[in-house]
Amino acid sequence: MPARLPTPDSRLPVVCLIALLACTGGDGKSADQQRLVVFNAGSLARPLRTALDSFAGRTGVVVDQESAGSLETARKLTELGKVPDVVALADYEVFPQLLMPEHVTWYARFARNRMVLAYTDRSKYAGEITGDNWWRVVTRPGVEVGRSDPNLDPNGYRTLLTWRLAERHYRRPGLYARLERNAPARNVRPKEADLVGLLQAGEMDYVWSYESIAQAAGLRYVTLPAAIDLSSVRDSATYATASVRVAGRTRGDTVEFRGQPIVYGYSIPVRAPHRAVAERFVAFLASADGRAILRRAGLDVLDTPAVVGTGAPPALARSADVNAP
Amino acid sequence: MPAGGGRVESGAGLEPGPPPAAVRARSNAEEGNGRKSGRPEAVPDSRLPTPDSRVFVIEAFSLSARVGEFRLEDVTFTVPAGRYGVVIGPAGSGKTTLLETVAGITPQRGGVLRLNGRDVTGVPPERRGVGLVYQHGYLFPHLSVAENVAYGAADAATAAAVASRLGADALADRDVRSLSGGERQLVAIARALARRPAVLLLDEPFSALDPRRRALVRREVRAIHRSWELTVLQVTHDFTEAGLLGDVAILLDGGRVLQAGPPEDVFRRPASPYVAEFLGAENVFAGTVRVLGDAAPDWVEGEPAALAGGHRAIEFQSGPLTLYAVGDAHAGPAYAVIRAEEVVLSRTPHPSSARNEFRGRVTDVATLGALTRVTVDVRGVPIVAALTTRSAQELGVREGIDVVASFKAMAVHLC
Amino acid sequence: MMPARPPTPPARLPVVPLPTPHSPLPAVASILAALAGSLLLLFLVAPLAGLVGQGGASGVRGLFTDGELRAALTLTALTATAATLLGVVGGTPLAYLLARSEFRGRAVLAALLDLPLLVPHPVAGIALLLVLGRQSALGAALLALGLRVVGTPAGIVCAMLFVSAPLYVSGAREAFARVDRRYEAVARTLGDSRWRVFRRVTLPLSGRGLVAASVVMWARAVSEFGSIVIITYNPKVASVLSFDRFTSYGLAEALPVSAVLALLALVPLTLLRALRDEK
Repeated sequence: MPARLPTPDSRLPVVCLIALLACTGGDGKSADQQRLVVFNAGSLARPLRTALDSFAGRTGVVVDQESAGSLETARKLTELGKVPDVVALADYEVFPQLLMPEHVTWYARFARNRMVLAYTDRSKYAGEITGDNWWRVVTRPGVEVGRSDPNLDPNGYRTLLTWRLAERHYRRPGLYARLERNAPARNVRPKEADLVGLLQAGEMDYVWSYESIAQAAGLRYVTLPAAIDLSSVRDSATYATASVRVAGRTRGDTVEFRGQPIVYGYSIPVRAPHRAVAERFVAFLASADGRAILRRAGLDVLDTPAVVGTGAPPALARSADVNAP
Repeated sequence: MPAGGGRVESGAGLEPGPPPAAVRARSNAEEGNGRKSGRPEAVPDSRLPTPDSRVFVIEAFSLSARVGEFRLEDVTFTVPAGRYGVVIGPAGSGKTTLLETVAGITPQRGGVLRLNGRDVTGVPPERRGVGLVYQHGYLFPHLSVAENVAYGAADAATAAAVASRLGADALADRDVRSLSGGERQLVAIARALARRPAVLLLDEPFSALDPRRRALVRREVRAIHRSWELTVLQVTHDFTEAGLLGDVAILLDGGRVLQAGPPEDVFRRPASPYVAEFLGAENVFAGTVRVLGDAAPDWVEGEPAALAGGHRAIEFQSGPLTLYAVGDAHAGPAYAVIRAEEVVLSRTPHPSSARNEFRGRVTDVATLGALTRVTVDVRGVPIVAALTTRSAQELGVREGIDVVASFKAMAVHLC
Repeated sequence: MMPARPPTPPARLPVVPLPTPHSPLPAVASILAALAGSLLLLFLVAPLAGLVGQGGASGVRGLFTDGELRAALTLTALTATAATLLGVVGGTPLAYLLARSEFRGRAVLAALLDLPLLVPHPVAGIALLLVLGRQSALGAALLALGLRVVGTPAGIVCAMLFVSAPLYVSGAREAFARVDRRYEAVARTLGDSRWRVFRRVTLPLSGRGLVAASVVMWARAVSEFGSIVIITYNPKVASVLSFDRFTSYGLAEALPVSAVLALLALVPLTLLRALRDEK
């Protein structure tokens, strides 16, 4: 009888089995404790990134950040069941409309923004456009103006609201239609982030954007009159005179949005996986250091966040003033 | 005993005699191997032989080409009109490349190629009037046998005639994929001939055929070759076939022409020992030539015609052997080549005109069908003799016996 | 002289037992392989089956009721087909060149042609923008002629062509390479010019492979999203619409679109299958 030698290929299946078991094993719990998952709107991406980096540097927490449109972000919670520790949106209205009370019980308004027209040196008539004549310039033939999708992005429907307000402000009936003619369907993109790229590529002359985005991207922009750019709480009543209809919760439905000052909000979802870390972060955002970091990133931060709803962390509730801008 | 390498008459005989005048192609071996013409180079007009389409159909002059690993360097040969050229060489020597270059499929990098007196450099294959048959037929798989034969046919009548001669009409409705290797070859040859080319290029066309079909197809191809006055260039590695078919033999090795000429010249008078060994000459000896004086030695009396041509009597010393030859070699080192078929064996010496006669002992007897090769040890030098197996049996040749090996002075070729 | 009786049969040879497999471990390897294969199959099929199961019915219904869906599907089919036609027309000569000619830069050219496959799709969109946008020489020239690319179906075709043409070229190259040169050589000696050889020999022998490659290209074009979003968001192709529906309305509305797309994908797949089986 010949002696049986272990052949190489008889060892291989055993090795594979062991490797397979090793991959599935392991306890990840301890590693999870120091994690923070943040879902935010695109326009908050850069400011929050710097704040998160600072926070991570101080505490050693590992951060996961996902940016998307505000509605898309909300859908992740409501439809996909993906729950972050902190959700920050460009439109605080989305909280009561889609997320409360099942997914969040409170939200805090913490920063403001305004609608601007961003452009570059290569844009047509870049030399002559001002805050007073912009509406004449961007309606000239051959000028390509970009905007984001009103059904997907608050920036999109805010653009339309600004047009409405401009029509009234400058007393030009038909201005809305003329503004729309130079920003037709083919100039629409899902998110404002896509618009910046097109602007920089020279494909667009002007894009409707937020001040924070334009600043962060180093773009030139036109500051519009406060009465139309959704920036000031004092003009809330004026803003409210304009309204637009966009797609609602289900297809075929529409929902009406009235003009409101652009205010950012955040919240900690009910089922946040790392609640303790989330509360520390939120407290950091409300602190002087956090606010300074956000301001440096171009965000117009409120001195004290305005909390709506119940169940907010004590650190925030202390400085709450519901009627703050 | 059969003369090796000679032309054997088969079927309706071919007119004997050497090809027309001034045809003997130049052998590169005579020119020396120092010349390298790999770079595309214009050949100066003064060196070109004048085109003579009456005499030559294929003229290659200093041809060079390259396809991947296979190359041709400085290839020169001619095939006269209506003659059968045979290209012999080992695998990888560039035989197929040569055919493809003549056909125009492989572009030539240098040299001149003339077909029917016309310079065909740069002329695309479809306008050269050549037919090409590869070793494995390469019948178009998406067409039927009949469609294959008719593919480039000159006209339907020719296609039909050729097909029936070669027996391809019996296969007309068969699917190409169902044919055996031999049947495929048949159809491929018919396909090429149906076009009535002026020149037919064959790449080992009979190798896949069984012996019965091989004889039939060979005969028919030769018949068509004669009745149409077709010029053929065929590649083969079978020396016997080369001798049977060819009017011009071209030896190719490593992309170079070693020797070109009538087969019997090439076989009997190889230009170098390398060629000799290449062609399977078993007896190649290195040694020294000594030219014997003008006075005719008595043994030349049996060969007056040889001396009349200006040849001298030569003594060739190779180790312990002294050979006598007739030729025009000069004194000094040389090689002597004796074909095994020229060596006669007998049990006892008997008077004959063979000047070279040696006693030796048989060390090996190899029988292959009708031929037997006997190796005789003569003073330590092996001499190989080839005889028919019947003769070997009648002689009672076997290992260990003493025999006498003899061969004529004319059988010793010096190079 | 013939023997009087038949010769005796040879002595019985000893029966040599067949060697028994002495190690069970090769069987384990087979089991593992089968397991891995089944898992992969499940992984690939289950999500799509779920998609069609949940959204298939309403998706098919939507074909009749949902004008936006029909428009998106039609646009997808038209642009993908247009892109494939352009790819075939331009790619076939390229593929033939790569398969047949031996020239110095051949490997470099082949690598260049594969690059679009490696580029992330949004990056591809941006790259196309730089060449076709109104600031580029080509884009500006086209615009002057009244031909707008960015923001139109033409832009969609360009994006699809960019990401999927390399697939056709490599498939077609394979198909040509499998046609032995000697067929073409023989046909040349039988009187065919280069073009006639291609038509009468190369094309029939490689045809099936070419069709398969173009089906692959078409399928890839249909599924493209990332680069199209950048070049032409409106009008929406099916992939963009399903993303749009998902973001606006959620899963319930996105499923039917996705399911219909998956069902439509069966068309090229069955075609491919039919072609291969014909052999």
